Amino acid sequence: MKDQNEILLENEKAFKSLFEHATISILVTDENGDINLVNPNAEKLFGYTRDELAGKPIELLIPEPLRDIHRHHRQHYFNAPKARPMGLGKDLFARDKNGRTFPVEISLGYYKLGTKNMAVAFITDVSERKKAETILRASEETTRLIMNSALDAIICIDTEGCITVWNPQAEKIFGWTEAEIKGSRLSDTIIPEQYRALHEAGLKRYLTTREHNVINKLIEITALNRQGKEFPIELTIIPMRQKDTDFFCAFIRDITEKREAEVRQKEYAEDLKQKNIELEQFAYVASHDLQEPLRTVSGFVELLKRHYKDQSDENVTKYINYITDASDRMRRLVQDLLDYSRLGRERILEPIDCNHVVQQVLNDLTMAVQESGAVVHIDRLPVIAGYATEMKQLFQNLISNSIKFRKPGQPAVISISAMPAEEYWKFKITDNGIGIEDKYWERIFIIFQRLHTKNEYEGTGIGLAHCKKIAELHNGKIWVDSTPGEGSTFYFTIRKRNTDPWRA
Amino acid sequence: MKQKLMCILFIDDDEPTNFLNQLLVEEMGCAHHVQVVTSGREALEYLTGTGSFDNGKQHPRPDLIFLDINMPGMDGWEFLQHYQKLPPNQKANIVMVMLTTSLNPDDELAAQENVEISGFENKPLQPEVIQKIISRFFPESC
Repeated sequence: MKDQNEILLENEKAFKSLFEHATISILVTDENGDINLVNPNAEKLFGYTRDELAGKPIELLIPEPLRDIHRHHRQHYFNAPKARPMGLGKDLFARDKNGRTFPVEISLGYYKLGTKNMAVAFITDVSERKKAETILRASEETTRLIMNSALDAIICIDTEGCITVWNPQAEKIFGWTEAEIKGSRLSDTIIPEQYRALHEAGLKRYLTTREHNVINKLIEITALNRQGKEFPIELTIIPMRQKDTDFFCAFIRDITEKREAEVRQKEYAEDLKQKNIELEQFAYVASHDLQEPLRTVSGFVELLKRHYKDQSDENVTKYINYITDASDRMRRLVQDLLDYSRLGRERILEPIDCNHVVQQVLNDLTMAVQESGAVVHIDRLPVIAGYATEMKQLFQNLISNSIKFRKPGQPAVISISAMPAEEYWKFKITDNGIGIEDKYWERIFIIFQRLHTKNEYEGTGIGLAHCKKIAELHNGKIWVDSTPGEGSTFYFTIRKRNTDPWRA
Repeated sequence: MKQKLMCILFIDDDEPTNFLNQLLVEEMGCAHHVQVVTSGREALEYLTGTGSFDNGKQHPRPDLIFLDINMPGMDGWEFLQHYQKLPPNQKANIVMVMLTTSLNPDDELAAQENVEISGFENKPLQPEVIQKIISRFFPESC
């Protein structure tokens, strides 16, 4: 049996060891708030030695602005001391020897030493924890902001298919508030009847086998809103795992408007396609059918001519000539219209060596070139992907225009070249002809628009309209730059294809 | 018809059309002089006595102008832009009537908005149309 002293000694030893080795800081003060005992951990925390603290008021370890309040609280405490955690719901702060203020958590105990009440404070530095809490709060705030401002509805469900997260956009799209719908089953709310069984089965299958076919990808499906209206959505489901718990997060976008726009666009494209076909057909049929009565007119005028060729009345001859000229012109116009509408009708894209094409055109124009004494300079031209007949016509029209609209008494000098650009070939045909006033630079490309009377220059005014249509068939453009009296430069572009070689 | 118009000017690039119009006016006997030009440029030369009309002769100022819209080079609209800038004594008494085969309703609208244009008629020109124009704008000649 141990005697009383022995027990006391052992207890004292035990408590001393506890006091000395505790990983919590311990301070003991008397009723006046003067420090009596300081454990090593408290020395470390506050930066003072126990000798420096002994007999000093506890307020030494309190930040200046809080000292009066603390003194007041302390006096109040000693009126009815009891063990309690301190500062519940309040942030407490301490101050070390260097003046650093830091957040602490304190619990208080007391004991009587003779008649005196002694207070024991157990102090923990919670700086790190507070910091971690601040970071966590900030991160939660960020998450909340993202959730609130997301244009997607963000909905999470647990493994039972019950809704756990429902952001404001989800409220907006579906009509239920978060409070109303949290805990409800997805398949009782936003999933349309016809998909409910699939949803349930898919969920079960994923949880047991991890097999899936709708997860982690963008799918288009429909959903129900609060009014029971079904509407199209874009949906991505991401499976997630937090602390061994599976859940699923869905990002949902209402695509009603997008769908409607798509439908409208499709209808518009279809409409346009139809209109184009009709237009082509119209020009073709109209010009074709116009030929018929025209042939009749021409035929009978010929007959009249033969019958009245000895007729002395010169008016008759004049009238007949007017009719002949007019019907000839009409035939040419109609033929031009027909050609124009047929242009690029049955087109096959093929490699075209523009050097060959231009050579061919010049061969065809030999007579005109020789008669006018025209000089043609041709640079190296590319091989392009194009429509053979149309390309030939394009060059032919431009070259023959340059010859036709040469300055009187001066041979035409024509230069043909091409430049590669990023997306297209740019061709350039320059002449030294009569030129074109800038106010007509656009009008000349309109069908049957002419700048000269029939007596000055022959033609119906179709050539450049053809050129424009041909350039456009090749996804290109055509335009002119000119100085009246000095000459014109026609440019046109042809879309490049990856396969175009640049022939050296 | 009490009194003949002094002069009617036709501006049209189509020769047979001019021929027919001239014949019509002559047969109606409603003008002392019928002038035909085949372009806007030539019409301006006639009105200002320049170019091919700068020959020392006096050319009667037209009471009435019939103007074609669709002509090569300077079309009817462009002619009007130049015409508007002429001094009043070269513009004549005139009533400008657009005479056209244009089927484009925009042309008729544009003609209504142009202060120089008093009428818009379709080709071919008929005697009743000339009669109508004269009785409306030149009542003393009726």
